Amino acid sequence: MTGRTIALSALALFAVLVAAWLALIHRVDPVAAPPIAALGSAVSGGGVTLASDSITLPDETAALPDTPGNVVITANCTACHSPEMILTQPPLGAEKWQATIDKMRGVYKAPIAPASDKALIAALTALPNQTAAK
Amino acid sequence: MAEPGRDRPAWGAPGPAWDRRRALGLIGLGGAGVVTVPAWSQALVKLGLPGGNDARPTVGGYPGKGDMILQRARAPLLETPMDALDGQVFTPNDRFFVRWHYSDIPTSVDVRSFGLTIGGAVRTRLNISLAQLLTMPRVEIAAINQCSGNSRGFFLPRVPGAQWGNGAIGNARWVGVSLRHLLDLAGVAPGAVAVRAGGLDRPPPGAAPFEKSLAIDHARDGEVMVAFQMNGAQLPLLNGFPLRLIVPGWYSTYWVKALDRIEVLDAPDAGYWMDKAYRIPDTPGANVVPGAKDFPTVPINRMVPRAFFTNIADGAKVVARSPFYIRGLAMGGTSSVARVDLSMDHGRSWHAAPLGPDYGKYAFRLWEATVPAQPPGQYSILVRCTNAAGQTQVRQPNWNPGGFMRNAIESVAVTAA
Repeated sequence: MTGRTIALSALALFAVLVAAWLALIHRVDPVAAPPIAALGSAVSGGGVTLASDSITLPDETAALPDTPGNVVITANCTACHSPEMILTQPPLGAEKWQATIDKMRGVYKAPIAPASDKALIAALTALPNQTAAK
Repeated sequence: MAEPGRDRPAWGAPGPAWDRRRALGLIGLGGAGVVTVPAWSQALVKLGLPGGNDARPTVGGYPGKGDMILQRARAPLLETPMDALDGQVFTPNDRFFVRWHYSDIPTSVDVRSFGLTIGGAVRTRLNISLAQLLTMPRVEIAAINQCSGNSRGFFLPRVPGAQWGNGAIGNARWVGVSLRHLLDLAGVAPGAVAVRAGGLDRPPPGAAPFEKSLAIDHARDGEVMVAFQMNGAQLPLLNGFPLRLIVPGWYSTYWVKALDRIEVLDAPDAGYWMDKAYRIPDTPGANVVPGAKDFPTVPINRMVPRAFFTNIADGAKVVARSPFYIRGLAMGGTSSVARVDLSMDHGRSWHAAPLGPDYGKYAFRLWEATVPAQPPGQYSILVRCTNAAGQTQVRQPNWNPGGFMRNAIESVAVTAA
């Protein structure tokens, strides 16, 4: 047996044990099940069943170009949204980027210090998607 | 007819002699032909947006979703690839587009503790459990859900915002309880003017919650509903599980996801998302001269007719002197699809395309046609929908700074060789 096979077998065994254990504690003591989106929690009526649901979103993959100038974008923009929102924009120019910053600060309460605006606009307008095909 | 052009006999529907698979094989699907990729893998799709920067990864791995075009990871913006719209009127739940405004979206819902509150200007404030909702009289409707900014990426001059191609749209069978029934249970107070809906997503600290309103008569029209089923299944969390407001014929911004509160208002909604956002010029077709500012606006509202190609992409290649099969989807907006016409001479003459089954005025309708054999050359095929109220599409795209409500006639360039 290769190491890979052994590892996969061990993983499968572990998964079976976890599933069995979860099924067992659920049967023995349903109250002990997780309070939110409990496994098997559902409501039914009129032929329709709605089951509790819980999801995990995949990891983000997009990244800003790794330049010193982009640190200010990371510091001010990507706490609220991932970088694609910036990287997919057509060339907007300084005026529209200023309007966007004003909207983020005014409407969405992004904690962007007005003193950062100049550096932020410089960094945003220097992004590859902003300089190409103007 | 709103546009000049002679009506010609319909092109034939594909007959039994015509091998559809062969026809599809002849058509270069190009960038629209998205292959299935493993969840951890990525392929790029080009949306054909003017000016480039239009390549987006197609990703699996989103819960309850198959391959989707990733526009933004957080808050999720997932676009439906055209292949998922092709050949079917109802869009599968696992390919239905996803659009959230705020990054704090519900990722877990316990159906036993969830409640929908109905408050504000009502006689009795209610908190309705899902179990109670499932005992109430049901309504079912087939309806298209289209983002206000669907196709924004095609605007010229370009405008900021989510740079969607044509895939921020889907059609589903929705089952639930009419909003009128719920409002009547609570008892709408005299003087009520609007009904505001909100969901489980949360704004950043200090920002306005995402809430949308309908006029009271609209909310009570019997068609607006609170849905708990989508295409026969519970909604994916990313599409608004457990409840979503369905507003047939109106843009998706009103279709509040993870709906957990309804508030009857005795004054117009002055909240940001009605008063400032999702507003269109108060002009025909929501159209203004590019760059215009300070024009009167109204909240975006009813959808307008559109027709799409779904099995052929711009730049496709076909075999010369051989007929080829094309098809797509059409929508009438707030009245049914009356006809879909095709033109290969830049709109001088139009040919009616055969239509598929009618699932109601708010649903997609499939159109298809076998294009007669063409000599080698470059062609442009146009598709235009006209609805039962006589509304149709024009070639000149509308423009507004929000990038809303695009419905220009779609075209594909085809090379026969």
